[in-house]
Amino acid sequence: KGAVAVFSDITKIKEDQEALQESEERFRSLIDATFEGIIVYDKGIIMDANNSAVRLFGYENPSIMTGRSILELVAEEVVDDIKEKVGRVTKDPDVEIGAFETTAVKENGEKFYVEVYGRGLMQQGKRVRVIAFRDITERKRAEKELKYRLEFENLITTISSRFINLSPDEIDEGIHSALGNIAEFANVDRSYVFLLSQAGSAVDCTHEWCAECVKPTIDQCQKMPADTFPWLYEKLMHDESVYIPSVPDMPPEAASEREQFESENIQSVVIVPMRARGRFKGFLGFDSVKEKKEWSDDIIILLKIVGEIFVNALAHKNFLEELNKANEDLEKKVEERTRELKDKHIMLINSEKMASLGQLVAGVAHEINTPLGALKSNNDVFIRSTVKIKAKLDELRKEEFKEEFVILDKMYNSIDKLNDINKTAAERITNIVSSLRKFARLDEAEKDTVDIHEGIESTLTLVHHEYKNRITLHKEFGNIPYVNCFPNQLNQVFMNILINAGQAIEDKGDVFIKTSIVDKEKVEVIIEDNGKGIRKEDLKNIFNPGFTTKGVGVGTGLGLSIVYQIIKDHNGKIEIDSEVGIGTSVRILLPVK
Amino acid sequence: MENTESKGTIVIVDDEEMVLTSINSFLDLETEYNVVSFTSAKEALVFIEKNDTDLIISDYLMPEMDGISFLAEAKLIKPEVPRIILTGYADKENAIKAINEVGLFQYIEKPWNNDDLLLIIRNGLEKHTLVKKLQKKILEINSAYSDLDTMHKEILKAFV
Repeated sequence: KGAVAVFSDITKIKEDQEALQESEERFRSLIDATFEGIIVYDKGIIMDANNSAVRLFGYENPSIMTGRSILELVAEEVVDDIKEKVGRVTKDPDVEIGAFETTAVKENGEKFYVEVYGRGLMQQGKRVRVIAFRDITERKRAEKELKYRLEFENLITTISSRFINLSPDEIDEGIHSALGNIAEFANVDRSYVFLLSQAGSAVDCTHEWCAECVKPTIDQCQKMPADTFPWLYEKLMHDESVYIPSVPDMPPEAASEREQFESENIQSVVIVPMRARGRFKGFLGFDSVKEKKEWSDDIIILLKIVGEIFVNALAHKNFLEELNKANEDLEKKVEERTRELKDKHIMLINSEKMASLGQLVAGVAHEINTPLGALKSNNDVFIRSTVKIKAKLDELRKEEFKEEFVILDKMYNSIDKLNDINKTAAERITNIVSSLRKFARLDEAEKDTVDIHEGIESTLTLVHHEYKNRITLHKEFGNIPYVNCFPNQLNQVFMNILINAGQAIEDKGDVFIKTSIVDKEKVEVIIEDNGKGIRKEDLKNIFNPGFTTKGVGVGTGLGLSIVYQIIKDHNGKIEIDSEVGIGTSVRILLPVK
Repeated sequence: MENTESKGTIVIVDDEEMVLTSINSFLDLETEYNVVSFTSAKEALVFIEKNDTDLIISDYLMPEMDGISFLAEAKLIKPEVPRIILTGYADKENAIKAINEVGLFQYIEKPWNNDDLLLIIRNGLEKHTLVKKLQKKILEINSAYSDLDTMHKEILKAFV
C-alpha cells in the first residue's frame, strides 16, 4: 500500500551531534589542561582521571589509573581517614567535601601532599563522585620550614633571655647547656665553641656538648695553631659561615679539614664565625655524625646570632672578671697599705718608746751611778779599814781586856759580814744599771757588729725579777760569730720572748736558750719553755698587732708584732712552735751580715 | 823620790759632796796623797792656777761648768798635769768624743772600782813625775849647752 516516508532533516541533529562532540572534546581538553588533578570515581573505583591527575600520580596514561581503588592513591597512614570519607559519600552522594589535606602516594610509592575537595556529579544519568586536588608538597615544606624556623627562633630567644640573667660564673655552664639545647633541637651530635687565643695565633675549644653516641674532643682541641685548618679559618676570618652538607664532597683545597672530619666520622658540619665589635673572636660549630644534616640559610643566620650571644656573654664575663680582679687587687692593695701603715705606726711608737726609754735609762743610770759609786767606794773603804782594824785588834789583844775583846770581836764579825752583804748588794745594783744601759744600747743606736750572747745576758739580768727562783735557766751557748744588727732592737726581741716564756710558766719550770751557727752565715737562737703552750688557733694570729691572750692590762698585743717587724728588718726569720701543755719553742734565724 | 811621788797633790771636782768624801776617805786610808776636793769647778781652777798640782780628776755632768770645759781650761793653765774624767753618764760615745777633743789621760766610769782608781791615779802621777823629770833634764841640758857655749866662746877668745 503505500509507504510513508518521513524525512526529517537531520542536519540539525548531525550538526547538534557534531557540536556536542566538539563541545565534549573542548571540555575534555580543558579538563586535561587544568592544573588541578581531577578524578571521577564511583563506589571507590576510579572511572576517569585528567592529565594533571595522571601526571601527579606518576602514571603513564589514564587507562592505567581507571579501575583502581582510590585508596591506592593515598598513603597507608591515611587510608582509614579516606575510608571514613568515602563511607560518608556513599550515604549521601551529593555531599560536598571541603578541601582537606592528606598524604597521597604515587605509583612508584613516593609520597606527596595534596589538598582535596570533592562533590557529586550526574554523569549519563548516574551519580558519580568527582574529586579535584592540588599538589601542596611545596607549600607544606615551606610551612614546615617556617614552623621549624619559628621554633628555632623561639629557642634562641629563650637562650638569649636566659643569658641576660646569668652571673659571670654561670656563663660557661650557660653556654654549655645552650649548645646542648640547640644540638638536641637540630638533632646533631656535637656542638662546640672555639675561641681565639689572646695572641690570635691559636684557637682553644672552650665549650663542647656531645650526644651520648659521640666521644668528646675538647681535650684534643686545645692550643690548636690557627693555620691547622687554613681553608676553614680563611672563610671564618672573613665572616663567612661554613656549611658542609656532605663531608666527602668537600673541595680538594679543604683536604686537611676533610681528613679531620672524616677521622671523627662526621657527615655534615656547619660552622659560623663569632665576632665581637667587628673582630673575629672564634667560632661555633655543629657536627652531625649519625646522619647527614641539612641546614637552611635562615637557620645558619640564626646560628650566627647565637654565636654573637655567646661571644657577648663571654666578653661580659671577661669584663666582670677583670673588674672583680681589679677590685680584689685594689682591696688587697688597700689592705697591704693599711697593714704597712699599721706596722710603721707600731714601729714609730716602738722607736719612740725605745728612744724615751733610752733617755730615761741614761738619766737613771747617771743618777744612780753617782751615789752607787760613793756606796761602792765607801764599802771598799770599810772593808779595807776593817781588815786594818782587825790586825790592830789582834795586835792589842790582851788577857786583861778579854771581856771587852769578846764584844769587839763580835762587832768586828758583824761589820765584816755586813760589809760583804753591802758589797754584793752594790754589785747587784751595778749589774742592773749596766744591763739597763746595755739593753738600751744608747751608745749603739746604729747598726753594729756585736756579741749576741752579751745582749741575751744583759736581758736575762733585767728579766730576773720575772724568773727568780721559779724558773731554771738552761743556757747552751754555741760558738757563734758577732752579728751585724741593731743591738738594742735585738735585745728588745730577747726581752719580749724571755718575758713571754716566763709568763707561760705558771708555777715552776725551765727556760732553755740555745745558740748556734747555721750554714756558716746565720745565727740561730732558740728559746724554749715548758709552760702552758699556745693554742693552734691562736698560733696563726700570734704576730698580728693587737692580738693577745694575756687579758686586759697584761699584754698590749704589740710585743710579738714588734718582734716580728724587728726580725724582718734584720732579714731574719722567726718561727714559733707550740703545743698546749707541753711548751713553746721560738726559733730565730739572723744573718751574720 | 818615792816619798815626793806619794805626796803628790790631787785635785778632785764633783758637784756631789758624797763622791768627794768617798774618794777622799779611800785615798786617805790607802795613800799619802794630798787630796784637795771642790764641788765648784771654778774654785778648783783658781786653786790649780795658784798651787802645784799633780793630777786632776773631774766629774762629767755638773751644773755650773761641765767636766770637759773645766778640764779644757785646766789644760790651758797647766798642760802637763794629767787629767782624768769620772762619769756616770751613759752616753759613752759622746763622752769619748769629748775626751778626745780635750786630750785626757783617762776615763773612769761610775760606779768606779777603788783598785782601778788607785792604779789610774798612780799611773797618772807617775806620768806627771816623768814629764816633770824630763822637763828638768831638758832644762839641765839646755843650761849645760849654754855653759858649753860660753866655754866655747871663752876658749875661742883665749885663742884669738
